[in-house]
Amino acid sequence: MSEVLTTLLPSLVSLALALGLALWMLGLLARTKARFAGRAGAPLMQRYRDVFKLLGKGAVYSRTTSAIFKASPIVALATTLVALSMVPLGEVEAAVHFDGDLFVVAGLLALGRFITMLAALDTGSPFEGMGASREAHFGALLEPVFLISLLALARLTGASSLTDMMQALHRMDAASTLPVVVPLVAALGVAYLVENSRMPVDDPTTHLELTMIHEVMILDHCGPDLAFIEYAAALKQWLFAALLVGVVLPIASVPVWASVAVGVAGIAVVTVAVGVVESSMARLRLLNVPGLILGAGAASVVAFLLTGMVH
Amino acid sequence: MDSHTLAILNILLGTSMVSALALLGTTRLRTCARVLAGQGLAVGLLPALMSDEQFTIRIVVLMVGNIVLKAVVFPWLLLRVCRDVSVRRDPGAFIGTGAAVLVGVLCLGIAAWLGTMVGASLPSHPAGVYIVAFFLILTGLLLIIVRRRAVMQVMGYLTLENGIYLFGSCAVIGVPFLLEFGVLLDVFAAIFVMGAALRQIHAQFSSDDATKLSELSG
Repeated sequence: MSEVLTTLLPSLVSLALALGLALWMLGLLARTKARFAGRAGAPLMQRYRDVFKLLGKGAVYSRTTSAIFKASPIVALATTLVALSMVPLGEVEAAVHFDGDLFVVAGLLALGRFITMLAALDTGSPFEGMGASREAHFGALLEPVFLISLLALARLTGASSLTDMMQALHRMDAASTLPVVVPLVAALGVAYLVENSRMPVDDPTTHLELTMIHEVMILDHCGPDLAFIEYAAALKQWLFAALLVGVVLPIASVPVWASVAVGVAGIAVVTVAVGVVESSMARLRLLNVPGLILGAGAASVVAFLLTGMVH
Repeated sequence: MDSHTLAILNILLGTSMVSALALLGTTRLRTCARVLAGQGLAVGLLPALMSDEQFTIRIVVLMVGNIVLKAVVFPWLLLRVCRDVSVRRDPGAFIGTGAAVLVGVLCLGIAAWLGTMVGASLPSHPAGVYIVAFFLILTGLLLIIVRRRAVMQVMGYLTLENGIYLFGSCAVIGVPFLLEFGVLLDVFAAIFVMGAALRQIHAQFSSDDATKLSELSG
């Protein structure tokens, strides 16, 4: 019973918090950007209203689309949900964890991306095809960066499950892991921005389809399908924020419930920080995005090489 | 070495390393000069953390001399040369900045291998110091090879010198003060001469593009 209270229950609560607060996190991001622009901003709960409104609507499907188009929102949400259940919130264990789950997380995220691209191509719209092409380009560049970052963490801690990696990292001497953690945070930060279509890479609020990446792929989705996609995007953003929090925050040896609270607070801090980045930076030219990802790749390789130095 | 010293040491080593990668990835010369100033400061502060003797006059004078020259005087000279010969960017000669960063990462791999081996036989300092020293040396050479502007090649030379200084200050114990200061003076003179020569080259050929300096001019 005590084991249930100290390990299983906190993981389930942190997963429930992720499911419940992911949309609130997007509201917080929008609020940060609004405050920087001198506006009051939408209510923090606006995203919930949007999603519930969409869920209440019917869906319209183009005659040119096939079953892939209908399956894609469900697959995207399902893969993100499963991946999220394997990512620990800082010190709190993930609900599901086993050796090698870092590959499963990366694979599930790739699968979600793949099905979204297929659905975009399925519509036959040139705009969506363009978005899918960009997503494939940047995704192909980013996936090695993401994997090398996680492998650096695995090599540093000697564990291959995300949960064990984070817990081992928090028990290591922060001073000696610093040379690995700093480039790692840079690489994962860029991964966060690229994977979630945030500002220097993709402008999530633009109205010009020609410049979009993620938004242009989901132009033809509506109603509950769009709600699923929006919610999956929010969960994915929470997942990456949780990874960053786990690497940055040296929280060990605090009561488990306190680390749940610290984890959520950390995600809020990451979100506000991303809002600040988005407000203070212009979008990069599409041609320069591979350069940014390349820099992140260099940072991840540096982190991987320096794990040897720490031992 | 206690945990706080190690943390500061790691921050300084990390700064030096990132600055070298940033030099490889930056085309704007003024930014490069500023990054080089940061690198000079980080490398200049490092010997204070690694010496066994506490702050003797010798160490303080050498450190201050190093920092003043490498973090203030050289960047200032380089910025002035950039202004006088009005070059702003160096897009690279053979490979672009992206590929240069990748080769830089490869160099880091080589440096990590070399540094770990040297660190094993000279265990008085953490292996990271040797890794960063070798990395700076290799990056300096790489900068000289892949850039076309002579100003940028001087910066590569300075990065190389930073690496040699870092390696020397931890690997070679008990070098006479005079010798260390003499080396510093040599570098100073070299940079000074390079600055003057650059201006002359620019006046003569109206460019300091190394790929164009292939013929003798009477």
